[in-house]
Amino acid sequence: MLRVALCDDHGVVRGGLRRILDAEVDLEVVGEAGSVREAVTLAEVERPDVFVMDLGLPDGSGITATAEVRRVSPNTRVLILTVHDDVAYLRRAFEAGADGYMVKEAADVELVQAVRQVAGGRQYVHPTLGAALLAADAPHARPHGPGGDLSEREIEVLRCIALGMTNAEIAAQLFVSVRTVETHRAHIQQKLDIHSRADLVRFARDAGLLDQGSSPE
Amino acid sequence: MSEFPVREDTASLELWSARMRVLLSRALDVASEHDLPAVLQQIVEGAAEVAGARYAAIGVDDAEKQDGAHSADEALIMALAAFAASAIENAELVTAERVHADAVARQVAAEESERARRDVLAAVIAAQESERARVSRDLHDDIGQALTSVLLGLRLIEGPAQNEPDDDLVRRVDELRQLVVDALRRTRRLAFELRPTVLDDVGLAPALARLVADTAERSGLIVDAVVDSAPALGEMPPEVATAVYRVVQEALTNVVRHARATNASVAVTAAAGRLRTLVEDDGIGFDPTGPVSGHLGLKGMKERAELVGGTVRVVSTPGSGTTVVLEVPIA
Repeated sequence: MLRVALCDDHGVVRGGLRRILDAEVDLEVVGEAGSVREAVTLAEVERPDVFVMDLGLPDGSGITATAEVRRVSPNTRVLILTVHDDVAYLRRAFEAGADGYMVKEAADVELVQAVRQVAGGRQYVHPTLGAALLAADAPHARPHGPGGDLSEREIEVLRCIALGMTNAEIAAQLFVSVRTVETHRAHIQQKLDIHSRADLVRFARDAGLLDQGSSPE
Repeated sequence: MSEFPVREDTASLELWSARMRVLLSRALDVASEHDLPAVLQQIVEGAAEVAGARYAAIGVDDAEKQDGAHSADEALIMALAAFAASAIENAELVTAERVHADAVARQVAAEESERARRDVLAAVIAAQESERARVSRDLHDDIGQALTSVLLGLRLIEGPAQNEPDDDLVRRVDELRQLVVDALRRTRRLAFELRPTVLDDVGLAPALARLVADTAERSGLIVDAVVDSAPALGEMPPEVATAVYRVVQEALTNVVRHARATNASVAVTAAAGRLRTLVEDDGIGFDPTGPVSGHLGLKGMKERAELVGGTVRVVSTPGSGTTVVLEVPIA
C-alpha cells in the first residue's frame, strides 16, 4: 500500500484528488495540507511515500515546501501538481528535490500513474513539459572549436555581435563600413551555419570568445 | 512727413546721430515749445512693423510753418527720431527680457511638470504591473483551481460509467473534459499574457524564453532568446526585469505584425555597468524617421526605458531588417 499526502490550498481540489487516489486499491491518502507549514508538519508526522504538492501556496511556494518536506522526511518523494507549465519551475522543483512534475490539466488521467512511478523511485515529467525541457537544453549551435574556420577579422566581428553591438557600432569600433560588417556577418553565419544573433551569442560564449573582458564601447 | 528706419538701418541712424549732436542745443530750444515726452510717446506707439523693419512717421503739424521745411524743424525731427529710435530699442530690449524671463519660467515649469508626469507615469505603470500580477495569480489560483476541481469531478463520473458502458455518457463526459482542459489552457495563456508569474518567481531569462517560444508557436517566426548569464543579471532589480520584458514583448509584437521577417533574435548582455537588450529581425525594415514609426509603440517602449534610466533606439533601413536597442544602467 502506497501512502500519499496532498498539499493544495483549495479544499475542493484536494477532495477531488483524494477520491481519485482512494479509488485505487494500492493507494491510500494519509493526510491533507493547505500550506507550506501544514505540509511540513504532515510530512514529519505521517512520513508518506509520496507527497502531491501544488506550487502556489498561501504562505510560500511549493518549491520551498518540497525542500522542507525532503529535509524532515528524506524518504518521501514529492510530485509537483501545478497549473504552471514553465520549464523554469520544473527545474527549480527538481533542484529542490522533487521527483515528479505534472500539470493540473492532466491530473485526472495521469495522476495515478505518476504517483506510482515516483513511488517506485523513477522520475515523472508531464510529456509536453519533458519535450519543452529537451528543447530548452538542446545544443543551439554546434561548436566548431574556437571560431572554427573563421578569419581573425570574422572572430572579432563575432565577438562584437555577441557583446550586443549593432552593425553600425561594430563598424565604428573596427574602422570599417557598415556594409563590410554586414558582409563579415553573412560569412560568419554561412560558415557556422547559424542564423540568429542569439545562436551567435551562444556560440561565441561556448567558444570562449567573451572571456577576454571587453565592453561594447 | 519723413519716414525713417528705426533699427534696421544703423548707418542712417549713425548719420542722424552725428547731425543730432550738432543740432541738439537748437533742437532742445525748439522742443521746449512743444510737449516733448508726449511727442516721443506718440512716436513709439506709432512705430509699425513693415517687412521686418520698423518705421515711424514724424509729422510736424504747425500752422505757422506750413510754408516750408525749416532747418530748425529738420534738426528737431532728427533729434526726435534719434530719441525715438533709442526709446523703441529700449522698449524692445525690455520686452525681449520679459519674453526671455517668461520662457525660462515656462521651461522651469515644464521641467517640473515633466518630472511630475514621469512620476505619475511610473506610479501608473507600477500599479498596472502589480494589478496584472495580481489578476494573473488569481487566474491561476481561483479559475485554475475551480477548473481543476471540475476536471477531477468529471473523472469521478467517467470512472463508474466506464464499468457499465453507456457510450453516450462517456462521450458527453469526454466532451466536457476537453472543454475544461481547453479552458485551463486558455486561462494559463491569459495569465501569462497579463504578466508571467515566472518573471517574478524565477527571473527574466525563463520569462523571455517562454515569450519567444509562445511568439514562435503563434506566428511561425523563427525566434530565439539568449540571456547573458553574467552575475550582474542575477541581481537585476525587478523593475528593470519588467522594463526589459515589456520592451522585448512590444518589439516582438512589431516584428510579427510589420516586419515580414523569417528570423528574429533577442539577446540580453551585460557589460560595463549596462544591460543591453537587442531585438533583431531580418524583415523588410523601415525608415525610423518616417511617419510609420509613430505607430510602432515606440513611445511606450521609450517611456518604459526612461523609467529605469534607460534608452531605446531603433536602427533600421528599408530592406535590411530592424534592430531595437534597449540600454539600461545597472549597478
